[in-house]
This record gives sequence, C-alpha cells and structure tokens, in this order.
Amino acid sequence: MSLLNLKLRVWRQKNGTSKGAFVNYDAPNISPDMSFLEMLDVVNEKLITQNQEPIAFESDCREGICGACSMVINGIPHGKERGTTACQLHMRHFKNGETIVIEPWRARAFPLIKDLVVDRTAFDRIQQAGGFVSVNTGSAPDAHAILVHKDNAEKAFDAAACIGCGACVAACKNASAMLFVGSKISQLAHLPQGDPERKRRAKAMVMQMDAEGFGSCTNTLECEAVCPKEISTRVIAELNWEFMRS
Amino acid sequence: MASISAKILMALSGLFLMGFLLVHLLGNLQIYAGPEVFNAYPETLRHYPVLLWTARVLLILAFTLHILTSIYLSTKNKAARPVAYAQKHSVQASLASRTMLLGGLVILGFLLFHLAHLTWRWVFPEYAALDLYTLTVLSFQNSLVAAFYVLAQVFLALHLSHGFSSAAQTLSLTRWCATTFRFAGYAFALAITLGYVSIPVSIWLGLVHA
Amino acid sequence: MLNASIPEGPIADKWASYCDASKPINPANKRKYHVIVVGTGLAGASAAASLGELGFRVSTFCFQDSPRRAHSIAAQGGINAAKNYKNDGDSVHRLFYDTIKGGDFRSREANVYRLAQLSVKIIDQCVAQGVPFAREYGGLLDNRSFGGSLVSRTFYARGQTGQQLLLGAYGALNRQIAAGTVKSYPRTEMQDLVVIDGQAKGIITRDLLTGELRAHMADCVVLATGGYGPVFYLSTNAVGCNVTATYRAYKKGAFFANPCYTQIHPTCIPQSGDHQSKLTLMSESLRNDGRVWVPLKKGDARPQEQIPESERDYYLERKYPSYGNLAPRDISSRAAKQVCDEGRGVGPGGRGVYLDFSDSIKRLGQDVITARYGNLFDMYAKITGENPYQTPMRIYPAVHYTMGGLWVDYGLMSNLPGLFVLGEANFSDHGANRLGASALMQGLADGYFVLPYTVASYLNHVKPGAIKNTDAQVTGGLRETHESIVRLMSVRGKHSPDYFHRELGKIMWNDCGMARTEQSLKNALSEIPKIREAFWKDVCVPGSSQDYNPVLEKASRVADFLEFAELLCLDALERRESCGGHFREEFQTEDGEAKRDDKNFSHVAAWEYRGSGQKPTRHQEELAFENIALAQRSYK
Repeated sequence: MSLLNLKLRVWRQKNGTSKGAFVNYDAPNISPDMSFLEMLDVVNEKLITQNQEPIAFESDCREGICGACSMVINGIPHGKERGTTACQLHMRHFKNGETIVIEPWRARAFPLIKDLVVDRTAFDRIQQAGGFVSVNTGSAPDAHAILVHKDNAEKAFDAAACIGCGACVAACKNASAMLFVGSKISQLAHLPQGDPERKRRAKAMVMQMDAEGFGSCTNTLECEAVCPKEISTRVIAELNWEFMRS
Repeated sequence: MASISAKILMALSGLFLMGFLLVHLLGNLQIYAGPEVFNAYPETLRHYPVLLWTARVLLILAFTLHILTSIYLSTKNKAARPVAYAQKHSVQASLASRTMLLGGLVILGFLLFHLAHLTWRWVFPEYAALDLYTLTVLSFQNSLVAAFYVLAQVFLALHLSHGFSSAAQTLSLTRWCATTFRFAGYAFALAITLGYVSIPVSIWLGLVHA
Repeated sequence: MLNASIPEGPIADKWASYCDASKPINPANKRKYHVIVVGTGLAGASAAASLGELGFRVSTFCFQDSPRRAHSIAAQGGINAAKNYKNDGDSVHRLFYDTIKGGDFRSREANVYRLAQLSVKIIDQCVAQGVPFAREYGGLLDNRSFGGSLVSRTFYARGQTGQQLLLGAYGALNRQIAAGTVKSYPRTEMQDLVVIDGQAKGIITRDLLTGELRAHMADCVVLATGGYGPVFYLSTNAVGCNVTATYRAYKKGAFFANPCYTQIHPTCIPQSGDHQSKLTLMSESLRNDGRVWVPLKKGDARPQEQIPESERDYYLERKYPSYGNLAPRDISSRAAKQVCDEGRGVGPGGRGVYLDFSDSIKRLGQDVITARYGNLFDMYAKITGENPYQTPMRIYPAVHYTMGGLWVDYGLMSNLPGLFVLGEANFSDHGANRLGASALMQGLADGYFVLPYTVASYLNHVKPGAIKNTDAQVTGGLRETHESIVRLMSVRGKHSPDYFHRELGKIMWNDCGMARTEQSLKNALSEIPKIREAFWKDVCVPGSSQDYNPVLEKASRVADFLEFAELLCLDALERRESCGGHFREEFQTEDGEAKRDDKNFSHVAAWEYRGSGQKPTRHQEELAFENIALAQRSYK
C-alpha cells in the first residue's frame, strides 16, 4: 500500500483556563500500517525538533486495554472503526488527502488539561463510592466455595471488560456516564460475591455520578456504538434495575 | 433528586400518556361511525364525572411531571457539556432519540392548539356552537389546520418511537430483550400516528363529510 | 556476600516460621506509621490496599492518570496457582519445581516455594473480589495449560486476565481510599528516593500537571514500579514503562540484581516499520492450539497455502517432542530466531514465523477457537489487517518482561533498610526466565500476602514519623531533582527524546537481545555512552517544566535508560554463561541450547552504584539448591 498524505485539524488548548482553537498540520508520508497514535508521534517528532510544543495526548499500553488514549476523531470517539481504541486504529482506514479533525473528550466532568488530554478522575471517584466487593486480604474462602453459573460469569465478564476510557461520555449527547457506571454495577450484579452490597453500591455510585456533573441517559445508544469493548447498553438497564431496588 | 429517579418518573408519566393516546385514539376513531356515535362519545364521558375528572387530573399530573422532569434533566444534560464539539457524528443514535426535547416542545404546542381548537373552541369562533362532529369535519376541510395536525403527528411519531423503548430501558424491562422493545416502540408509534393522521386526512380528502 | 535472611528450617515451613517470628504491631499504633507505595499495578495496588486494611497510613503514587491504568492491565493469558483443581497431579511442589526449572536454576528456592504456596490464596482472594474468571458449566473455575508446564494450572479471564485482576486490586484500593486509609496521588512521578542514615525514609515526586516537586516522608517506601523492558525501545510494555524509580533508588544505594535477565516473548506481532512505537504480544495461550512452523526450504517465498505439509518445518514439535509448541519462552524465542537467521523466516524482512490454527479449527471448529481466543484474533486482525482464521498468524519474539530488578532479601526488602521492592521491579522469583502466567502470580503474592507481613516485621523496629521533610537530605534531594530537570530543559537541541531512545533500542536489541557475545556487549558498552553524550548535547524539550509536559517526562526517563543500559550490558558481559533469557553464544551446547556454568555462576549478581563514571561493584548472593537438584533444562 502506498503512503498517505493527510491534513490534521487538531484542537490545541494550553490549559483548562485558556481559550482553545483548531490548528492545522500536515502529516505527509504516513504508512498505512501505522496506528493513529504513531501517526501523531510522527507529527509531534517534527514539532519537537522545531522546538515547538507537540500535541499533547494520552497513551500508555497502545494495545487497547489501558484506556488512556482518548480523542474524538472525525466526530467519533476513537474514530469510526467499531470496537477499537485510537491506539489500535490503523491508518489503512484513512484515505490519501483526507482531512482529519481531532478533538478532546468534551464534558464538564472531564475538565481539559491540555490539548487532547482531559482529567478523568471523576471515574475513579465513582469507583471509590462503591465499585468493589468489601473483602479484606486473607479473608476469602476457597475459590470453589463460590459457584457461579457459566452464563452469569460470561455476563459479568462482558460488563467487566470496560477500560474506563470515557468514550461513552464523550459520545453521549448528554455526557452521561451511565455505560461506565452500569458496567461495574452489572459485573457485580451477576456474581454472588456482589450481592450483599448491591443496594448500597448502586445508590452510592449513582449519587457520585450525579455529583460529578455527568448528564443523564436518554437512551440514544450512542455509547455502545463507540465503546471500544462494545459493552452493551444492557448494563444501563441493569443499572436502572439495581438502582430501583436500592 | 437522583438523575435515575427523575428518569423513572419521566418514563412512568410517559407510559401513562401513551396509554391515554391509545384510549383517546379509540374514541376519535368513532368518527368513522358517523355523527351520532361520535357526538355521543363525549356525552357518555360526561355521565361519569368522577371518572372523567380523575382522568383529567391524572393527565394533568402526568403532563406536568413529564414536563418538569424533562426540564430538570435537560438542564442538567446541557450543563454536562459546556463546550460543544466542532464536529460530531452519530454512529447509531436515531434522529428521534436526538430530538426528544424538540419533539416534546412541538407536541406541547400542538396540545395547546388542539385544546384551543376542539375543547375550548377558540380557533374557529364561528363554529363554536356546532356539535363536535361538525366542528371537526369543518375544521379539517381547512388545509392549513389539517396539515398542521398531520405535521404534529409526525413529531409525535418520532417522540413515541424513541420514548417507548427508552421508557422500557429506564424501567429496566429491556434487560433481556432490548430489540423487542425497540420494534414494539416503532410499531406503537406507527399505529398511533396512522390512526390519528387518518382522521384529518380522510376529512380533507372528503371521505368523511358533514 | 549478600545475605538474603532466609529463615531456617524445611522449605515448606520457612514462610510460616517467618510469620510466627514477627511480632504484630498494636492496632492503635499502626496508623502512626506512614507507608509510601510507588506504582499501582498488581503488586502496588494489592500491597497498598492490604496495608490500608491493616490500619497503616498509606500513600500511593502513579504516573498514570488513574491507578487502574498500570501496565499489569495488559497481561493477557492467565495466572498460575497450584490448586490442582484438574486432578492432573499439580501441587505446590510441582509449581515450585516448574518455576525453578523454568528460571534455569537462577532463582532463590525459598522465595519460589513461598510463591507456590501463596498462589492458591491469590485465586481465593480474587474470586471473592468478584474477578470474573472463566467458568465451566458446573460453575467451577476453568483452567488451561501454559508454556513450560505439563499440568493445567492457569486461571484466566478470557484474554484479559491482567485487566480483571488489576481491576480487582484497584477495587480493593478504592475501598481503602474511600475509607481514608490510603491517599492516592495519580499523575505524580517519583523522582528520587530519600535515604537518611542508610534507611529509606521518603521519596521526591514531581506533580506531572504542575511540575511541583515535593518530598513525601514515610516510615518505609515500597517500590512496585514494574520492569525496564523499554530499555530496548520496542517492547510489549506500555510506552510509559520506565526504569526511573528503581534506577534512581539504585543510585541512592539499592543494589540492582541480574539486570541482564530479560525475557523475549516468542509470540508477538512482527514489527511493520520504523514508525513502530511498541510491539503487541499475542498471548502465549495461543500456543495451546496453534502450531508454529516455517518453510523447510531457505528463502521459500511462496504464500503459505501453497507450501505443502511435507515442506513445512514444525520446528518446535521437531526439536522438543514432549513440550512441542508449549516449550518455555526463552527456548521458543531462540528457536524462532534461529530459523529466521537460517533464512527461513516469513513476512516482511524474513523476521517472522507462522502460528497456524488451521488444524485446530478443523479439529475443534471455528466457534471453539473464537471462544478461546476471539479477542486475540480480533486484535491481530486490527493490527495487521489480515484474518487469522484464514491465514496463519505471523509472529516474532519481542522484549516482554525483565526478570532482573532491585535486589531484595526474603522479606522483599532491599539492602537499604526500609526500601521494599515488589513485583517485576524486584529480581526475586523468576531466575533467568519467567514462565507464562507467573508474573501476575508474583505481583499479587508479593502485594497481598508477603509485604503486609514483612513491612510489619520491619516497622516493629522503627519509631514512627521520626523524619521531618526539613532534613538536609530532603532539601538536598529536592534541589538535585530540580537541577536535573533544569538541565534537561536547557539543552534545547535538535532531536526528540524518542530519537535517542530509538538509537539506544537498536543497540540493545542487536547487541544485547536474544543472543549476546562478548564482542557485541563490548560494542554496546562503547556505543551507549556516545548516545548518552549526544543526548545531553542535542535533546530538545519544548515547553515549560511548570506545566503538563509529556516530552519532559519522556526525556527524564530516557536519560535513565541511557545510564541503565550500560549496567545491563555490563551484567550480561560479566555473566559468562548462558541461562534462561540470557544467551551468550559462546556458551551453548552442541544442539544450540543454553549452557549454564553452575560452578562459577550459580549466584545472583547485585550491582552497587559507585558514582557517575565509576564502574559499579558486583556483589554476589550464592544460590543454594537444596530441594531441587541442579540439572540441565530439558523440554525434549
């Protein structure tokens, strides 16, 4: 495959209090085998050698599991490939000469730090409110003392696959975090281990979610379309159920 | 109030209003049975004042609740994204799901017009003294009125097509089979709308006449 | 001679007697002790949560924006435990034996035995936390087999075991944060260790958002900062993984043990070009059902489907009939390198071998393969644009894990009292090669079950809160850190930190990678200082140090890699034998296997920093094999 010449329109913003704007960059000679972030690396490398500040974006594992990368590519969080994080999105999906618009996650609960980097600690605080099973180290019974129906284990896993990237919030027209919260609630709701605390957990996590300033869900289902782990909005229905029970 | 609690109230009031829409439609369809039957329908209702007023109070309550929760939630939702995207594409969110507030406002406007038209009879003062059947038929011979009614029903259809499955999701009925509710919602919205739209259209086409 | 302070007695009783001997701390006094935990991966998060539960005051630090993003999250395959749920003859002793043998007899028996003992408790703990392990239809836990073992003892959660275990530990950590026993500092990177009167008493950190430097004082410091794989630039590690915390602790007096023990994982997606920023691992579990092969003929450029069965060389099955495709990682990696060196490699540049599932798909059906490896197949397809259900995967070895790390004694304390080191950051349990599904096991054993005891045992002899952050060592450390940042910022050269990192990586991979020679290592040792010099002359860090500045973070980490790489090569040079992941071409058997020199090298090499430009001192800890007889590894 031949190399791509691309144009980028990237949101640049020095920090949360300053005003941001789009800046245009050329990205010439991009290999179709590069990941989207590697393409940005190339652009950044050039900026650095010109002693200019590179485009700030987050990434760590670059294999789609840590949830660090977070950018809206051409109007869709993580870009248009389904079930794919930005770091796993490859340039072979773009056309030569294309202009790519890159924006940060935009939500009140995710204050902007710089360029494409936002503060997602709201997610941590929601988890701290109750996204766990209270079991002290060493107090667990033998693993086989707890039987879990295979279907329930699978459902729990489907929900537990969440990587906490925040694409659901970014995609939602209300910047709602229901898919994120629902995935933890659903995971533990399908396991006997999660049962004793289910009421307290659902209530506390929803209260924290509201307090962080996320919007509420209007069931547009946009979140599941952009979720890199393709978590179903079933978890939101389950969250609603768990909340009603609480 | 927790956002989910507000959503539940919105879903419940919405479902109640959908029930009303269905009952109201069944009443309206009696227009095809001729003036006697159609004019007798409101008269029959007036024979049961307790029932009628209970229904009216509940309806007003449901509307109020639906509107108040929508104001509460949409204010929060708007505040949740202070800076808008320069470019945003929807992957699978339907038009209906993205325009619930607009649809709701249009429906509210229509509702007020509808009340003014057929209940309070302010729209055509010259027909005010006529019986309901004649009033209805004469009004819908006016193309503008018929068109407005049809247009409003299109918005209603959109609103219902999302509202039905959305309420089911909020009430967590979709835990097992989300698609069933989605299609049930489409079917319900289509049936209600076709039913309502048929009346002004039939009159305008002259199929139903005074 | 280093003393690991291993308790007396039979190996099976050592840990129990250690625990019995340590006096519990009065619960009312526990909260007077402040413990710093750096790193929030499996080891760090589990340690911090467990210490918090016990009532200690804990502070955790991570450079990521959330503890949940630590690189443990990326572990795919599974976690070993000697549960013997499969009734296939597994036992604590067998896991112990496999690990010692897998590590090519370069690990400490007592530690490994304890690891095998504690492995069973880890599974219990994680299940209780709600980790969604794979289950059988009866509701019991499922197991699978993994490289280097003939029993099924690996517990897994699809291909995301590390993620699920980490989220379990993260949950436990969150619970303690909510309870107020743990204070979390995300986006805060350790810059230096504070050592006062020979004891670790705190750290100096940089707030990555504001650039603020701060000293945090504590009664002991726990490093759980992972490995140093990215010293090779390309590795399967996250791009943020770094050696900074452990290397700076080394410069403050902690010994660095066996840095040359690096693991090259056999099943990674081959590099596609120079732009590559990282390599992606395909879980070793794939080797359960995939068969590895290359064309029999040199330079055979035919597409794979045109190569008849008789002209394919299933070289692992041929060379190691009993373990076959499940041969340990170091052996499989080297075998892949050999066939590629012979000109039989496939794909671009001839640096790849096939991992073929067609037989398994025929035998089991595509559905079964999808259920087992679906997410891995998807990942492969995403990265390469090829469909692995139809064409075999192409794989090649890549740097994956580092067995070396800071030296620790039996209680996981380094030679600096009060400095504990856990997980991949220490050197303790895997010897010269780590078996698959053992990293998660070690991280969690260290954090949940070992450290809480050994920290308490140490703190029993420490007066809480004895040091104030006005101590001269603290202010000096802050000043030094500030100066080194100013130095980095003021070069204003022409190249990015990545540029030097890549240069370093090339040398490390070519001269100190899967095969090493005296000559290649000497070459590396002469080239590395040149790159380092060029770095300090020509690196460019735009922006400000008082702001969020990822380039500065990177530059600071690369600066440490550029020094540490030399230590790694020096250790590789001095270890004149082949063992596990350390393969010196001069020392091999006739059929190309690693040839150990037990007489001269059955020891841990622990390096002591002697100052900039000085050769570090090599200390030794003798390894005694009292329970397993030293033998040449055989997987034939």
